[in-house]
Order: sequence, then C-alpha cells, then structure tokens
Amino acid sequence: MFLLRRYIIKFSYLLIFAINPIHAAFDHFPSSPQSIGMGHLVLTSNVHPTDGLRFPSALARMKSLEGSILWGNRYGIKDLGHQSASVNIFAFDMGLNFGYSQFGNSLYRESITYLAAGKSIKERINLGISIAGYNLSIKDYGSATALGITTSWQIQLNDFLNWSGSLQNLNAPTIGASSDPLPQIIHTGMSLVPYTNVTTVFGWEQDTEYSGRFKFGTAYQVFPWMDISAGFVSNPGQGTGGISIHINNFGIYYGTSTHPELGLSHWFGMGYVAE
Amino acid sequence: MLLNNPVRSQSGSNIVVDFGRDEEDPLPEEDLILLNDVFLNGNGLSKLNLLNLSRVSIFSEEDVSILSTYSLSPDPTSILLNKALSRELKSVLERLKTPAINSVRSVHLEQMMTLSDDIRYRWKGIVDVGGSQVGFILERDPTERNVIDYGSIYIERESGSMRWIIGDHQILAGYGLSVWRNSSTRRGFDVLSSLQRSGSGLKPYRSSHEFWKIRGAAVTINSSVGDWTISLGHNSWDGTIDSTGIIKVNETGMHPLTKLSSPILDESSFTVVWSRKLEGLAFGTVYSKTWWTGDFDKLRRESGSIYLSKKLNASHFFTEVAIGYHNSFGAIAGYGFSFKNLRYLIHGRYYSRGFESFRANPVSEWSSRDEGERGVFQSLKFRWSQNTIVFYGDLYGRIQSDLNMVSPVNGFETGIRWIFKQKRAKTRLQWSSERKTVEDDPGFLLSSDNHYTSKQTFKYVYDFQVNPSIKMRFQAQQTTAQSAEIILIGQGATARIWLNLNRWVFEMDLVGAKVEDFDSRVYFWDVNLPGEMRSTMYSQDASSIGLKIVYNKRGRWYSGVRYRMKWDGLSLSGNFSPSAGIFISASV
Repeated sequence: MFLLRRYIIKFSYLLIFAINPIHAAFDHFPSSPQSIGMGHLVLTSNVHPTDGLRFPSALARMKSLEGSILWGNRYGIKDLGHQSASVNIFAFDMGLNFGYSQFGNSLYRESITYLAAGKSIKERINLGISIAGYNLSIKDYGSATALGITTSWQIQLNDFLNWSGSLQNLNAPTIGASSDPLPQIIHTGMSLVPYTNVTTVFGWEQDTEYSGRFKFGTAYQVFPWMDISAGFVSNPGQGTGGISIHINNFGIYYGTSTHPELGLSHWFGMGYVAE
Repeated sequence: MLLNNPVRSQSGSNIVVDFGRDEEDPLPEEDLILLNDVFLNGNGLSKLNLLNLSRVSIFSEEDVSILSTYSLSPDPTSILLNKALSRELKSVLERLKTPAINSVRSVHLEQMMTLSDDIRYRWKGIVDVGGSQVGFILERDPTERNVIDYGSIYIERESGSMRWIIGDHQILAGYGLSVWRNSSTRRGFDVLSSLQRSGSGLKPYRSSHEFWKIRGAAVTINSSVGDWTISLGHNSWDGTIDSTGIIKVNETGMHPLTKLSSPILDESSFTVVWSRKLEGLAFGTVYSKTWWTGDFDKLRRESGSIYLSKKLNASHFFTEVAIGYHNSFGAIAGYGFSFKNLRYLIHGRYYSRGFESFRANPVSEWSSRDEGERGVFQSLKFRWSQNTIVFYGDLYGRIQSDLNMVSPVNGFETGIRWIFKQKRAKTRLQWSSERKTVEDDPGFLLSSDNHYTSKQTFKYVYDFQVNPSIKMRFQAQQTTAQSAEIILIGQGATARIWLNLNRWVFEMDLVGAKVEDFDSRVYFWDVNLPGEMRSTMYSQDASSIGLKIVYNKRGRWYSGVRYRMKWDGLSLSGNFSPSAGIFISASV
C-alpha cells in the first residue's frame, strides 16, 4: 500500500511537471500572499519580508522588525504543500532578511535558506542582493545543494512611478551530480501609485528556458486595516486575488491563484510588525 | 530648426541620421554609447563631456583638437564661440547646450529589451563613486540560458598625470594596424574626417561586442618624455587553436553550455604604447605580446607598429607601419588638406598576406586578410553657398590569389553626393558604384564574358521641417546589381514623420521595397531607440511600418518603445514579422 502511494505521488509530480512548463526543481519560491494576489509580482512597492529572496532591494524600505509565517498547497494538492518563515531587521543602514522555505512532502522536499539585504544608495534608488542555499532531498536517493545569487534594483522615477527589476540566480547555479540548472529568471516592471490607497504593477518575467510572461496586478486599501488585490498572468493565463487584514501589529494574509489545467493554489500567512 | 528640438535630437543615432549618414555605415556601438552618455548625464557643455566627445570617431582631427583644448579650459561653454568648429560639431554642441537631463546625476542605469525571435536584454550603468567612474554592461542574448551571458565592468580614475582603468578596457593608438576599436572604418562618403583620426588612447570598454576587450588593468602616465600606456590583460573566449596554429574564435556571442561544444581559449596580453605630441607633430609606437592557451596547444605572438602624424598649416600627413604575426606586415599612409569649405584626402593601404596583429582593424574592403589587400582611397568635399559636394573613390585589390594562374581579385568603388540646404528643407542626392572581379577569373584569358560583379546605388533623400514640432523625410533608392549576364534591380521608398509634443516624441515610417534578389538589396534606417543605430535590409519584395514613441522626463528618466511590422510583398496585409524594443534610462 505504501509503495502504491509512493508511485501515485511520483506519477502526480511527473504529470504536473509535464503539463506545467517548469524546471524539475525549485520552481516554487517563497512569495507573500500579497504578491501572489497582485499577479505573482514580486516587484510591487507593497513590500513584504517574504519577497526579500526575489526582490531584495525592497528591503531598504523596511525599517522595523518584522516577521511572518506562510503556508499553503499548490493546486490544492497536499503533497505540494509549502511553508516558509522570514524575519526582517534594519541594521547597518540596510534592511536584512533571513528566511527559510520548504516545498513538497516527506519523500521529495525542496528547501531554501536565504539571506537578503537591501540598501538605499541614493534618495531614489535601492539596490539589493540575496544569497540562497537550495537543498533538494529525495528519500532513499539522497540530497544535493546549490547556491544562488539574486540582485535587484528599484528606482523611483517620480512621486508615483517606480521602475524595478531583478535577476534571479544570475550565477547560473546547478544542482546534483548531473548539474541540472536551477531556474534563472529576469523580472522587470513598473509600479504605479496613482492614489495613496491604490497600487498597480505591470511586469514582465522570463525564465530563460521559456518564453516570457506578462503580469499585472493592483491592490486597493479598502479600509486602513484591510487591503484587497487582484491580478492576471499570461502564458498560461492565470487569475489571482488576495486579501490582507491588519489588527494592531498583527497581520493575516491570504492569496490565491488559478491555473487553466491544475486548479487553485492557496497561500495563507500571519505576520507581526514591531512599531 | 532641429536645434530647437532637444528631445528629438538628443540621441546619438538621431544626430548622426540628421547628418545624412548612410544606412550601410552605422556608427560603432562605442560611439553611440559615448554620445548617449554625453546627452543623458546632465552635464551639458562640461569638461568631461567635451573630453568624451573627443573620443567619438566621427569628428575631424581639427574638431578633436578644439574639444581637447576646451576640455581643459576653465570655461568649456565658450567652445561655442570658436569659429573653427565644423558644422557637425557645432550642431552637436548646440544640442548639448540644452541637455536631456537638466541637472547633474551621478547614477545612470539603462535597460533595453529587444524582441525578434526571443528577447535580448541589456543593462548598462555608470556610477560616479568618489571621483572614480564605474561602468558596467550586462547582456542576455536571445535563447541563451544564462541570465547574464556576457558581463563587463570597469573602474576608471584620473589623478594628476595618471589615468588608470581596472576591468575591461581598450587602447586606440595609431590608425588601426595594431590596436583599434572592434569595427573598422568603412570607405564611403562619411569617412573623410575619421580616416585621418589617430587613436585616442586608453578608454573603458563599453561595447556589448564580446571579443574585442582587454580584461585586466591599464594605466596611462603623462611624462615629459611622452605618454606611456601599459596594459595587462587576460581574456577567456569560446575558441580553439587548430592544427596549423590558427586561432579560431566563435564570435557569434552565443555560448553553448558544454565544454565539448565550446572549448575555452585563454588569451594573456601585455601591451605598451608610447606616444608624444609636439607642435604639429605626433608620433608613437605600439608593442603587444600575447599568449594563447587552448585545450591542446599554446601560442605566443608579438606585434607592433610605429605611427606618425604631421600637420603643416592646412596640410596633414599621417602614416603607420606595423609588423604583425608570422612576419606579416601592414602599412597605411595618407595626406589631406583642409580649408573651411574644401577638404581632400588621399589614403593608401597595404596589408601583406595573412596580416594580423593584436587588435588590428584597419580600413579595408575585405574583413579577411588571408590574401592580403592594397588600395588607394580618395575623397573630396567642398561647399559653396547652400551646396555641399562629396566625391570618393577607392581602388583596391588582393595581393595574391588562392589559386595558381588566377589573377587576384580587384575592384573599385566610387560615389558622388550633393546636398542642398535651404532654411527648412534639405535635399540629398547621391550615386555610388562598385565593381569587383570574380575570384575565378583567369588572368590570362581574354573573354567577352563579364568576369566581374558590379553594383550601382542611387539615393534621394528629402527632409522638410514643417514647423518646430514636425519633421518629415521622403527617401527613394535604387540598387542595380550585375553579375555575368544577369541584372538585378532593387527599388525602395520610405516616408517618415517625426512629431514632437512637449515631452513626447513620435516617429513613424512606411517602407515599400521591390527587390529582385539579395544582391540588389536596399537598406533603410529603422526606427531606433537611444543607443541603437540599426537599419533594416530589404532583400525581397516587402513593406513595413515602424513606430516609435519616446517619453523624456527631463531631470529623471527617459523611456521609449519601438515596434515594426514587416510584410512579404507590397500589400501591407496578411501575416507579418514583428520586431520590437523597449528602453528605459534613469538618472539619479
């Protein structure tokens, strides 16, 4: 029975990886429910510590102690569960972020441990860098590790427009004895804040193995204690949505994303911000 | 009128297109990058910008001398009062007086994305850090797996009599026989000035061309006995040394990820240049030693040259003689005179069979010098009233042919251009012709058959400034190619309009081409974003529409997008091939 379950799980991985044009490993990165709700865009100006791995320059604007935990399932499949935790502090005149994320189940697990830093080098420009240790563990097969470096920038063009970008895994990391390449991803986009309670982001993301994806998302602060967001991603077409509720220093977050073949994915989270 | 439109005119490519440069002869990328930096750094007519302009290859020796003088002056803006400035330089300086960025910025970042089959990404930046300039360029070519398939960085600093660069650099000395930029000067209407230019010395390497840089460290020291430049470099290239000792480098810029398909060739180099400038006299010498290590072989090569330039009143004599690898040698010599309305140049070249040296890229008909080359180029330019006439002619030939009993290939190229300027309009009319013997033409055989290929190009360009906001261009050209008994004709026409609305610039063109074959292809300028200078080739019946929109927020950022649709045939219907680009530059 146990063997049968194992085969079913492995088959489900093969099915998912065959349908979805993703790498064999580390397609899933820790993302905040807010960025998921805004069209899977990490380049938003609504920064969250969990996004420090992929968009570390935003950490320059996070000047308080913050922490969060996130969890959920991809496509509603329990064995594609993900959990992450991150802590942000401001020290040495820069935002520093430590985090851990894991994805999979007890048979197949991807984990990422990362350190990220973001700093303002001038009044309107932030630069950031993150270093991630990737670990892939398959029960009875062993494990492998790799190191990835990501850099990003964020430039305030005027009072309501920001240009951002990120080059993920720019050191071309590979993993395992067969040196399988990890995803290398280019992100670039513009975030627009036409009103104080509205943020809109247009972005372009290209995994260098595949054609690019256009992303769009917008967030609206309905009340001082509640934000809602919605977005769209092309290739394949996905709709996204999210909600965040802030009670005193605590936050509760939810993000969701559709998929044309594989159904809904969910991200839940809780966080704390020290004033 | 154009001078009143700083937004439209302030990019290197637009400036040079305004000068009437031919589509077949775009500026080298290094020049475009320099011009863009000059216009976007917000410094206006500063000492630094005058120094940077002196490094741009399109200006004459006289202009360079003026630029260098004013780059040391306490009031560099007074250069505009100098009556000896050429029209071209004066035009650029007038535009520079109103910079695209209205205050000095110390960080400049650019991103360019261009789409044809896949997307090419390029990021470029310059940062002033405590008196040093740090520049970088990162690139991902289409279909490359790595986010950065090419990266280049340099740090440049000047202190007292010394200037040093750590990182990617290049040295330009002499006239191209030893150390030169990655593209040679072409022969044509626009080279009368640039052929007389000697190299401007040590420079940061800013091009995305991967195979011409020197990666390492270099220093220039100015002393009482001349200027010394010393460079140490180490480069790793995709390439091999073949069994005959020939170095083969894959210069496509594409990087196969396996060592089997992409072996590494290491190049270590030592270069020293000594130069001295006296009143009306400049001379110098270059020496390079290079070590290559491939997977199985090692090579060591030496090359060097001596060059001299002598000016006497309006006359200018210059020469360079070089010893290359395998005892090959090359020589060039030129004489020119320059009056305000009359300029002339005669330029001779001789490259022995297999001539090759460290970074040689002299003016030539053939990029390969396996069979050697010799040639004489002449150009004459004169102006009267509103008219400008340019003649050029080039006689050239291989020194040796590959086969016995076969005459080396030879040929000639000539052209005449007439420009008529009115207050709001400019007309350009030009004709050029080239004729070249075919390679298998037996030298002793007298035959009535045509053993040559020939090509004639006729071009008409009419620019009209409707008002300060609108400019239009109409251009028509015909190329006739003949090979043996076959005559092929290519014809094309384009209409283009530029519209300036405050901070917005729109450019749109419509092209139609009726072309019989690749040999009779025609070229038209594409719509180009800042930093680009591309032309589109039409080698069959085709039509296309191009559109560019640029927004310039003076003081902070500059962004633009271009899109072109190209159809087979003249009907502008059915499936089309798209090409697109998006550009953003921010200065903070």
